Amino acid sequence: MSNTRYKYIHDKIQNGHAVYMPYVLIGYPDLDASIAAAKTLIDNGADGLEIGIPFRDPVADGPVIEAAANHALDNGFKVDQIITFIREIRSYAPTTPLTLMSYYNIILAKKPDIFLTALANVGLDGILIPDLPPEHAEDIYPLTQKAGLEMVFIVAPTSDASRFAKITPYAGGFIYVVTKMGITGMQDQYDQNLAALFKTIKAHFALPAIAGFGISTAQNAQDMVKNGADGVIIGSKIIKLCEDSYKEGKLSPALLSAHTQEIINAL
Amino acid sequence: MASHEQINDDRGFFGRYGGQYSPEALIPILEELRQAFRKYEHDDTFNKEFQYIMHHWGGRPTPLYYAENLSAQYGAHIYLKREDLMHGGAHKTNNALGQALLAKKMGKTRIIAETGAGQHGVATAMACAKMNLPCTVYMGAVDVARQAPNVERMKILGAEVIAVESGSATLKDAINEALRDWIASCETTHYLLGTAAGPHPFPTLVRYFHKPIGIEARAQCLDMMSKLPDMAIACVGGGSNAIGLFQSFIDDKDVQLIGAEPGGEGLESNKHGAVLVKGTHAVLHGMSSLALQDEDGQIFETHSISAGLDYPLVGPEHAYLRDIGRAQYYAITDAEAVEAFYDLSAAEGILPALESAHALAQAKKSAAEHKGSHILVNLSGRGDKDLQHIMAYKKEHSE
Ligand SMILES: Cc1ncc(COP(=O)(O)O)c(C=O)c1O
Repeated sequence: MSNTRYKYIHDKIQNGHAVYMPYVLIGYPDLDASIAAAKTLIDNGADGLEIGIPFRDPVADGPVIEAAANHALDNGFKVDQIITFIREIRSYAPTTPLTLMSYYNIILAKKPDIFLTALANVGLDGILIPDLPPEHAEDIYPLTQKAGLEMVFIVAPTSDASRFAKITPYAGGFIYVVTKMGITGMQDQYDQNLAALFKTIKAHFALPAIAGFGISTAQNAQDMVKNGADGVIIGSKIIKLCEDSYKEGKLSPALLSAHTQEIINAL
Repeated sequence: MASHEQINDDRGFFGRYGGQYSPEALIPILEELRQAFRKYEHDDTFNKEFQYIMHHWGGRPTPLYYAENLSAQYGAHIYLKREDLMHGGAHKTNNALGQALLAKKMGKTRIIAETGAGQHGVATAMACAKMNLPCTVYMGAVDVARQAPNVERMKILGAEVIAVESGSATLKDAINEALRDWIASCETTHYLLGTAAGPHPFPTLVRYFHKPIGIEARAQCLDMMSKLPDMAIACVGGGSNAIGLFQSFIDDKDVQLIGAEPGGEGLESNKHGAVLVKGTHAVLHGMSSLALQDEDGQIFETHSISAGLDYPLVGPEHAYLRDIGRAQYYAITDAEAVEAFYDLSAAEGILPALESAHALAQAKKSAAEHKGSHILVNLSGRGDKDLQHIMAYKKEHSE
């Protein structure tokens, strides 16, 4: 943690602030527009970015992200474009922590050693693989360490102390806390025991606990922080805003700017 | 081959295939299922109850039939394991009832399932009606349109059928959707997966409930042939009927195990589903296995005349049996399957499912290479459900 870009969010949290790490899907609505969206989020104060790669079978994601992913793929998205994306964002925002969320099959298909090194070389900080539980983390953990990438893990309302213990040896960056049992999406229904969940997570891990899944409004974000979250991730809502902001091949920043400021003010 | 079993060390690995590549939210429920399965698999009461229902309700044991006319035509001794005579018309009933029973013991109050052709959906709906469990079946919207009679069957049996519109709106999308439901509902709900694939313990558990196929067939072979067959052949979609048969012959080194995959319009056409012939290493649907995919790891849509074989992945144990050379897998084209469908109908008065017709077509080829050999074929299902597809195929290919 000490010498990674995640230190920035860690320090901010230590100083009593909550962080906002919105999710952008590379290639949606198109590559340039997704780069423009990422820059807009950063310009307006996003503390970090969660970056998704379009995948045809995103079992941990909801209908909004799945439809956007299929749209990007139908428009010819190729995984290699991720290198362009991260290089561009990294040079624009040298200190912002960038976390890639990728299904495991993409990494496998791209040859883990080559792919992870290439990602680290253009400035990626961490990787979250939703279908790689800690039981199988050893499959690529040594490669992430060699490349200099943190592995970010998900904790769910069903994860108990025995799950925490399995995750601990590999976990870096932050803990992604799934706040409801289900998939990504905008329905704002959380697990009732959220406060208890955050409490046990924070007692166990020395990493920030960031809430994701089912968060879309400033009110949701505030609720999360009240329940003990160190910050929030918003995904499907960003996709919707990108869709609404995209006209004639261009992304206009107004909606995304307003959204980011609203969330940050609420935190 | 004891080592085969040992490799499945209860992390669900068959060599490098298998495992539990699932989202964190599912891991505890998979563990609950694994423990329940390991408990009940050795529980006499449970097994007796399963066997009782499979006998009186399901119609087991199914016969082994010496297909004399077809044997004369193919030039080898063809024995058919008559899973088509099971209640429901296919082997799928074994697994559906077994898992419904297990779910009941686990205190689950709701069942969800995926289905492609609708066979597993129908089997699940039947099992749930019998076990008094409410049931929701996810089915790709394309398949709902293609398989209207099975949709009606499921509804009559009391199941709710949800048409999945996302992605290619076929089987893999139905699985994705069922997994999503399960992530949200796993405390009360059991996901009754339809084939020997998915995250551990599913491949092992589904194999277990299909064990009667192989056990019966092996004893029936010894009884009728006074020896073991030279070959045991089954079609492979996800791999459940094939592993049901193969598992009893794995240690019998002289019995060649052969899987028939959907070759669709031919391997060069890219319109096929021959995963074990053409697939590459992949992780999806909770398992490490083989898949038909592009260089970015995006999974292809498959093609086959038989919807039940239309799956771009395959159960991990088959990938392993292929790698170690214990089983061989070949592609059978739509045309070859249709030909075998007609062969059996005319020669024996038995309409095979188009899936099973792939195994028959493979038997025809193997018979031509090994005249006079003894070939055991798993006739996994009956063909009434396929008449519409056969008619459409004939129409298209006569023009
Ligand atoms: C009659 C029949 N045979 C075979 C299959 C293929 O499944 P599996 O490979 O799991 O046996 C199906 C699937 O629907 C089927 O209905």
